[in-house]
Amino acid sequence: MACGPDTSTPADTTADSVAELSDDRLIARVAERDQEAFAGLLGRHLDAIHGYLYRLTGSQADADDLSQETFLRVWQKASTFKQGRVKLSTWLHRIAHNLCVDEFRKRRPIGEVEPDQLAASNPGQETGLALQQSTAQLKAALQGLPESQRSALVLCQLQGFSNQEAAEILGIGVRALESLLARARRRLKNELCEHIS
Amino acid sequence: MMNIEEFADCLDRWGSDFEQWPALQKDSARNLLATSKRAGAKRAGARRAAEMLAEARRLDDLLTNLQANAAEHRAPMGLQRSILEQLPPHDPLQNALDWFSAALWRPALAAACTLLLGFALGVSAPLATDDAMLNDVSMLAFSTTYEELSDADQ
Repeated sequence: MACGPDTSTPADTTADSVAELSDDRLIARVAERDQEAFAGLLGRHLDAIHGYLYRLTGSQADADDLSQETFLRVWQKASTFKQGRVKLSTWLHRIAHNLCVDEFRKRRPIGEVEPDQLAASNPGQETGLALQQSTAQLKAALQGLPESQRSALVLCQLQGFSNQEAAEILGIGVRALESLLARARRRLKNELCEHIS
Repeated sequence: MMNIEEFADCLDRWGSDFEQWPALQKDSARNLLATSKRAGAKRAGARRAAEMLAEARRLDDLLTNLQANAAEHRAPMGLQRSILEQLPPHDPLQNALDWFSAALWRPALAAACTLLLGFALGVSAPLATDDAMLNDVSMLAFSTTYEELSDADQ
């Protein structure tokens, strides 16, 4: 039996245990109104959700607001998460996507983006002026896509979801998602023909 | 054999990485490109397929570059704290309501529907209003022997 003094404080223990929890355990504790677990969930998923919303809306302010709304919705509805049916990140993206679509419907067009605004979002990452220009134009072209095509492309290409997961997030079938991706790519190719031809 | 339009559609659908394609289309596309190579530059269709693949690869490269940027995306400082500050205070009644709405609404709805259906069927069932039939039933209830019933009939 261990009899040495325990030097860790209760707060440390909680923080450590939250960091080690799986997503499923984390959301189960959030459903029990555990704020530490909720903070852990935010730390793990806020960047990805904010990034997704930023790519969809093209606006930092809209992404901030929708991220807040998404996670407050998660706090309220955590008990409705069905473990084992979908991954937590898929569920979170689905909530974010639905809120974003609601917002699109309320005030269309949301966050009209200026090409330079997105291009300047991550300065210093690209190497070479040509690549920088191409990337800037790609970001602008992405914002010009219809919302459904943009969502499909962002989920599959930028957020790293499989086609199956992206289809679940968008609430459509895999074949419908592939059609959206095909139309999005065709349109991007047309818009970027001078960069890729 | 895959034609050039089908090849273009597959490129748009699954990108330039053949590993992401379904097996059937992947093999057909490889055959198309191999045939194109053997036929050399004489066939316009063959050249077009190779050009389309190159264009799709360049688009994928651009998207991959964008993906690298997206992976480094960070939410603004303070957003997390702002969300945590907006959490509603602990309310046991609300918790109970949330639990009910999440766990019990389906069985409760099913029970309510069954009750309603039973009530509706009971109310809407036709009543026996035929006097002769009512008499027969009454006889059955209050007569004990067949003879009595026969006498009653006469």
